[in-house]
Amino acid sequence: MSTQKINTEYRQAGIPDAPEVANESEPCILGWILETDLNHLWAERYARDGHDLSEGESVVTEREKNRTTWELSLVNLGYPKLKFNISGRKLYLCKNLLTDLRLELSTPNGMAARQAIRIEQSDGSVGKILEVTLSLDSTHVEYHLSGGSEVKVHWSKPATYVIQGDPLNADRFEQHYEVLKRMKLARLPKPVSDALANAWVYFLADGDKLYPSVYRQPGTAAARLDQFQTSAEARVGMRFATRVFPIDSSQQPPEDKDWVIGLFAPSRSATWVAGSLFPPPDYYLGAYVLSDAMQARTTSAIRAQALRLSPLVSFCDRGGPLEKVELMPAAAQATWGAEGTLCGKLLPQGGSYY
Amino acid sequence: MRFKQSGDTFIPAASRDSLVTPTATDVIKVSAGGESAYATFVIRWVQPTHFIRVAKQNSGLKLSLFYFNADQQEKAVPDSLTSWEVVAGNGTVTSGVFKPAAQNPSPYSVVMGVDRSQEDEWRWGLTIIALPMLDIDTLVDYYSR
Repeated sequence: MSTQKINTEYRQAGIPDAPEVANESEPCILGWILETDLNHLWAERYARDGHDLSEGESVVTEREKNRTTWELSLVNLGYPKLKFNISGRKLYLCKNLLTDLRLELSTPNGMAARQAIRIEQSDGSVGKILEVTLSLDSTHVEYHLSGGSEVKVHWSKPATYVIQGDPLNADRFEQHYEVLKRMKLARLPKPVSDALANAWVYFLADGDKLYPSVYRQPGTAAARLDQFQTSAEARVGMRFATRVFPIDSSQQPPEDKDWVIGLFAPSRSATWVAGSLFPPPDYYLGAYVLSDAMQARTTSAIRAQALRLSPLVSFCDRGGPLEKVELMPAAAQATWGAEGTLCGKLLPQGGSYY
Repeated sequence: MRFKQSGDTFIPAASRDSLVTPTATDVIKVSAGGESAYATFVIRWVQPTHFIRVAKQNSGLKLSLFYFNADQQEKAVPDSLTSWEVVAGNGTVTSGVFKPAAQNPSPYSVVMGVDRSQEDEWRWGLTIIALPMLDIDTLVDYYSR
């Protein structure tokens, strides 16, 4: 007997659903959205949150300065923008480079473990954008509740990496991401349904539409596209399999109807308007419209500090050399001072200190 | 400044009666266009005798204090004899476990560990804990290599 039939009978008897069988051949959720709409949603959210540090990720690389000193370079990347190109079979992923930090670790005489002694900042990344070009056919999205509740793009074929306006400096990102072959999109809240604790999303395309297909196990996108209709005013449609998302007699929509949008589009970028069983009892169809980006704001953005000093922090020794303090961007009208009383001195030539 | 004669640390420890505290923290503030930026300098009046190791413990970052003795053997300081102090940043250390502030955490904190086994000398270590600037796994990885 199929799981679906078992669940139907169980539901009629008021018994919770049977555990899901392995090897689903069809997605538990199938959506559709116009390529232009999905690209617009990502572009709109990126324009708003692309400089938000709280939703980003960082790339860390290490360089040995000498036998006892290492420098970690840390670049924070902001909220992403996805751009699908169905005809070219490409997916472009852009992220702003936000902060550029260097952390110095050292093992001086008599130390067996690395001690961090200095953090410098630079504005070398300001205004730069990392663009990663992926093959749409070898790309999918994964969500794992246990993996920090993050949505990530995964790919299998080599990607190309470009820093817009700075073509030579993408190497460190290529070295970092080509090993991982994945990149964070966003962090989502916990879904209501346990069935969505792990999700694999594959993108089918037909004409000008994309069909995000959500599976609960890894696989490949189905060769056959099972198209479905939603109401005429809908800009996004989602079809939930009732074998996974049971619908009771009140016909309330699945509780994760809004959450699933975040598996392929910016979170809360589409709003549920209507839904019904179709064809009953196998599927529940939902229609959505696109949300106003400003209304979809849920958290306050943390932006990179515009005014910076470098070093951010450093150890200095009694009788040691002068430490230069650099202000970025250089501001002629800046006021230099101290918080509290200084043990050292702030010298006036652009701000040198010991 | 006087240093302890015939102490057991490879790096000589300063006598406490010649030095009130081994560090001082200076913060430079620059303001322009309604914004402010800060640079922090932690002055080491003497060289640290000890060093700090980090490890992940549950969701926190466990700090431990070590030193090399006069025979260049690595020695661990028992947690019961270690005091921790945050000299810059707003993180906290409780029972040797570092946590960034829950609200508006500073990207890093500077932590001093003091070995109280010899109360007449400064037996201490100092490091920057770059949390939450780095995530905890990345920090432990790079600090422990």
